[in-house]
Amino acid sequence: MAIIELEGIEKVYRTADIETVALENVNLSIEKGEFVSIMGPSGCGKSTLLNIIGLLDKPTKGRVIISGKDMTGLSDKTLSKFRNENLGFIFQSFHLIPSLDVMQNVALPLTYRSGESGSDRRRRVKDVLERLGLGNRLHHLPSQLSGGQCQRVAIARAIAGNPEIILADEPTGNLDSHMGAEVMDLLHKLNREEGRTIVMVTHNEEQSRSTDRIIRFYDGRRIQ
Amino acid sequence: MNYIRQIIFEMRHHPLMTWLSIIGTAIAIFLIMSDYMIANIDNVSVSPESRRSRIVYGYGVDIYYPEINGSSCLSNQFAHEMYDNLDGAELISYSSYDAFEQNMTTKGGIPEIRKVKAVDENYWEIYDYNFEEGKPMTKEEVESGIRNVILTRSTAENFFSKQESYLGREIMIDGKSWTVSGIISDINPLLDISHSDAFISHVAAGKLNEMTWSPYMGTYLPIILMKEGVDISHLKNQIKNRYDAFNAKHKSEDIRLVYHEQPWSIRERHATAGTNKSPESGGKDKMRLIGYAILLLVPAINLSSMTRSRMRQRVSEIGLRRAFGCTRGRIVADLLTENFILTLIGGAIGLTLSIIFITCFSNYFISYVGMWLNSIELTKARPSFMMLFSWRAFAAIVVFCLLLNIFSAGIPALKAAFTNPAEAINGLNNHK
Repeated sequence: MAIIELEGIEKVYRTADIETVALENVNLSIEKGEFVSIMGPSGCGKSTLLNIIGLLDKPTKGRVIISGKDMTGLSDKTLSKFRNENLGFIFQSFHLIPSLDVMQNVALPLTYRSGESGSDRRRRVKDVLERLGLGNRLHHLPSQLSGGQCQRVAIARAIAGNPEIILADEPTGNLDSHMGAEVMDLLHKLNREEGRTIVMVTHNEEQSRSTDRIIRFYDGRRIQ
Repeated sequence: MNYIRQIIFEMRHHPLMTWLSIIGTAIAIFLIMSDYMIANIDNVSVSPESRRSRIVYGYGVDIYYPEINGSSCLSNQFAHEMYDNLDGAELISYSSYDAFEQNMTTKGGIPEIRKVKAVDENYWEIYDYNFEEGKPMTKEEVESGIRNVILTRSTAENFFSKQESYLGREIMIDGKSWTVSGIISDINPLLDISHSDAFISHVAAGKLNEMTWSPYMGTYLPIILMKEGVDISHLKNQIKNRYDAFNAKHKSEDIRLVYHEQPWSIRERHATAGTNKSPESGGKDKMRLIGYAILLLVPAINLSSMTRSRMRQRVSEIGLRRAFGCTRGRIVADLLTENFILTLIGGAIGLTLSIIFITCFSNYFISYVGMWLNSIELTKARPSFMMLFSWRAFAAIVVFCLLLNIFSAGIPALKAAFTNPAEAINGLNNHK
């Protein structure tokens, strides 16, 4: 069963005198529980595609269907709620909030969710951090962590809200090979043991080969 | 909690912008609050004038005879004729406007000039003096003309040195012996109507001083406590009608009263220079409001650009929050709240500075000092903390901060919230 479906997606960036086609007639279907890599040279539209799947950007044309629900034309409030409950994001540059400690960063998706008490929220965040080996870093600030630890915190944040889909944009791009391998192990574990669907943009052939499927892009078009 | 954490973080990591914002706010609030306090120090309600919003004054008579004219306070008879039985009045006191300067001493002591005010029994109910000993004068006491005197604590201590009780002690006023029947707490000289060193019955005072010197003129000031909810205009209309009736009645004698919108609120009284002028506070209030708006707008524009600069450094964070489910509305609310706390910090600093400034330099600014009472005490008088820090002033500061916050952070916050989350996240620096 497809959890993500893209139909005829087109994304065009327009300025006063230039029109840049970032994505052209992209059709894509990703099954629930699949671990998919998206590959291609820089500027081929991989990250744009990920942003469109993550509902962070709107396509110029086409439909995005997630968990059977057409996302076209939904309000900001509805999209925000959907992202909060169904999508987790991991970025190359971690993007942790520097003023918040590890626990507060990880709790971020939960703060925009109602119906959960503060103590339940703290317990859940603590559990996730302990699972990822960060139980002793709860009150550290991002500036006090290594790159690998930062990315593990970012992964913890992505799964804290228990989303079905994790979108990772070059998650190992800023890490050395050892740390990168550690992060990849973690993502595979989340995919295998928890059944989360993972869509990962990467430049790393070796890492992409370890995923279920590779989708290749070139000049805004899907070529494989 | 996170708002405070964010502000501490901003102070540490972007100290220049953050402190410039706080200082800019503090200066704006300092200027506005200083002016507000100067304007309101005359009007603020503090003991014994706690009910100032309900107390109004039938101050002055401006009268034209065939060959002469004059203006002064009222004679006892004329005060009663014009102000008795007013609809909407809870109580009316006919007391002396000025405190007489009299020689006071203990028997055999060196006389000192002190202020003595002549009052009736209602005076003690209209004003809330704090009686440390004894009690206010009764109607019988006032009308009997008995020579009893109520002293302030410092006056009693000055003449008798510190005692456990001063009741029943004798004090000489203008060579005659008076018995102490009450001790009240000292009164700030800036409360110029209720301030005096000693209080005596106006009937007994009449034997010391001439309190009435023509059928219309004298030293009496009708002090009216309005009933709750009564508007001053209701009383003004009645007095205007009485003035008109008086003029109609005395037309053949060519005696004419000029109505100056009596009775006056405390604000009107302080905005009026004398007995033959009408209050003119309305125009000043409008000018003041325009001044406040300018004082608020100029720093708001500066603060707005600083806020925009601070927001620019946080665009990725805003994009990130949006990615994890934060709505645009919540982004705006959060940013406004953070900025509001920052503005309040600036506001608190500005308010504190303005209180210190006004306390230290009040005699340069308070317009009526020396005008209403020619007293050396007044030039030395300083407003008490409670005269400066009223709840009204506190509410005003919160409103000013809120306005400043909306002016300065509203547009940057909206702009930040409407930035495309993908662009916000991707166009930014590594936030580790």
